[in-house]
Amino acid sequence: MSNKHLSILFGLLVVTGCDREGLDYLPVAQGDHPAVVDIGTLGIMSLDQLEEFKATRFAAQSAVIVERGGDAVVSPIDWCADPAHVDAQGNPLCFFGQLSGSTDGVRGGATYSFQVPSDPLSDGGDPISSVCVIVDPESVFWNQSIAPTEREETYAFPDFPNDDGDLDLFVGMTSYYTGSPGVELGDFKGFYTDSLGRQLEIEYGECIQASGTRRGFNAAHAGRAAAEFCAIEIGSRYGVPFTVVLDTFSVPLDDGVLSYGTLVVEGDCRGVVDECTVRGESLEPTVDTPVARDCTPELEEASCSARMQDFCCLHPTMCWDEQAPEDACDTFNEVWDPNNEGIEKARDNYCNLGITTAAGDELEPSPELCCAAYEG
Amino acid sequence: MRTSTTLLLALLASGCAYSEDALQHFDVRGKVRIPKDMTTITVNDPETGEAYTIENDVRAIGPIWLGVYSGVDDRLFDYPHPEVGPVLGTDNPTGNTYPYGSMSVGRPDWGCYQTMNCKLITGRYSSYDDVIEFFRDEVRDPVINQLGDEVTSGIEYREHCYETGYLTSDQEVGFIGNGGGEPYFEDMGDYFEAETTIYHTLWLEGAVVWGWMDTPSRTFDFSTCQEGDSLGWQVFYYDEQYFTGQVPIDLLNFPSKYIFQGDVVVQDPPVIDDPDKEFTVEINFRYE
Repeated sequence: MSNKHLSILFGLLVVTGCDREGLDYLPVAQGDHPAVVDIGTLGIMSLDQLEEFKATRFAAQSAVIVERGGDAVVSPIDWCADPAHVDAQGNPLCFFGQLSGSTDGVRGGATYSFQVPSDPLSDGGDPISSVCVIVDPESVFWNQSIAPTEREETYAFPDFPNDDGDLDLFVGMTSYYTGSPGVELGDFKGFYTDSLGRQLEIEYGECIQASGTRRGFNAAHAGRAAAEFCAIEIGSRYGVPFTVVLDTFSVPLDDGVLSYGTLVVEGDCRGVVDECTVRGESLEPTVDTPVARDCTPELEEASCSARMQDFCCLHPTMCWDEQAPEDACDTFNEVWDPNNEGIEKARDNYCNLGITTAAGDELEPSPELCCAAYEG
Repeated sequence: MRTSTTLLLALLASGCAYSEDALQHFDVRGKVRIPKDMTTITVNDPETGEAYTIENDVRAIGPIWLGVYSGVDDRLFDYPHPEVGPVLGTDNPTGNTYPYGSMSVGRPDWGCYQTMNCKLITGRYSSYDDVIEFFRDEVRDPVINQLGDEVTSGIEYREHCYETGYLTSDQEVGFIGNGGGEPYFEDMGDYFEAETTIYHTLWLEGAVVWGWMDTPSRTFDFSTCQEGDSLGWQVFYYDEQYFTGQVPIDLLNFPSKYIFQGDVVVQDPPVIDDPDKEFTVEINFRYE
């Protein structure tokens, strides 16, 4: 074989290495959402208001509450938009928003500020010394149980990763913030120069995430779709404005839009914050005003009540059905479809009828986990 | 061809011309002096409560903490203190001193018995008997073993160290002699003196060496050694289970958190103009 032939073969070999574009891994944004945005100013929510906010549910779930004898509740999105839920300066107490991915080399994300009141905040007793800043990016993430024996059936399905995004939370005094709100994201880094001219970088960010696996320093962050939160000391900092930076780490692949909910509440985060604090933060990308995406409130409800197997068996495409083990729904079907009549029957039993098990236990239906508009 | 080879070799050899002297970090060597009158301590007799002094005894010298700093500012406290950066957060009373490097001349060491936690400083004792004698006769608070009995023999002391610490020689016992290479103070007449090296410190022209001696309290304890659950190494030897105490990690960054009245501070910190020249630092200002 001549050198010429060898060169042609080599060239072909190189070209075949380009048969994949990898574009599947680049999210394409739906709708018209900014990559960098400034929300404005949020008020500080009281703990009573937080309890009220956490009790909110979307329409279908509110109907279930009423059916069970409770009072109707509004959605978290409507609660935040209600003019009754503002602080003394008229600032909203929470916010739901959406971000598209940024262009190459540009940090994307959202910023907002909150101001420590001039008079000490008080819950009726001692002045409140800290506030808790929370952001929850869409939607829910869980670890699949893959134990070969005694698998945790609740998490037999894997999480569907392409509907999750990630925002990293930073908080610091506004005077140290280096970015231009709404134009360019910055940070809270400053410099100290000692008397011999040595320059040291100083981190003025104060958001130290100290909960569970997120224990660490200012740069520690939670993973995809997990709520991030940190306590900020406000004692003796009356009137001081703080800036919150929500730095886009990853955008969901399915729609290219990262939606989120965020708020600031009194207290040090202990015992008040988790994935279930902000619900309905997965928003419809093609609508300008925040509207929760179909079936995501039910997904969060399932996650918050540790009933992921039930939800995933009823709505397999909301979880990662392609990667689910074949027997992921065996225990679910044993209970809800004892006569092997199919998933529609199981769904009817679970959502509407309830069932009496072989052991004689009466199981109530759980319509709060059932998506009316679900199309598998 | 011969010329080309020579040129190639010369080119390759030039690759080895990099000198680590370009680094700004040095092992700075020097001497630490402490006047004898600064080593006089007052302790209380545990039995009677009577206060008395221990004088001219190298064993009464507490741990000495040395740092290389950009400078010292006399205006910050009632004693000379390194310059500080901005005050950050609410946990620290001052800003960070951002030391360039640091070293101890004697540090709190595990004393083999729980009763000796945070009592023994390295580089102060020549033998186990020296320890026993000092605590029995000078501090008047004898070494007590795990059974609650007084330790009277150096051989017994050594055996217990070896057994509970899984040791095989005195070289592994930091508080005996210069165990593990610890600097040892020598009697120089009016003062005690020890050699020291501050390893791998950043050096900028004008940097100073500053530090202080943590003077023993009246119960012969040290503010730079903290005791408590989970603090320090855990001894786990049959029914002897305790934590040995530890030195705070930030004591040279925030010295004012650990300096109290009675401690002795460097008043005139030597300037390091040449990192290859030895410095002499004198610890001579008692904070009253």
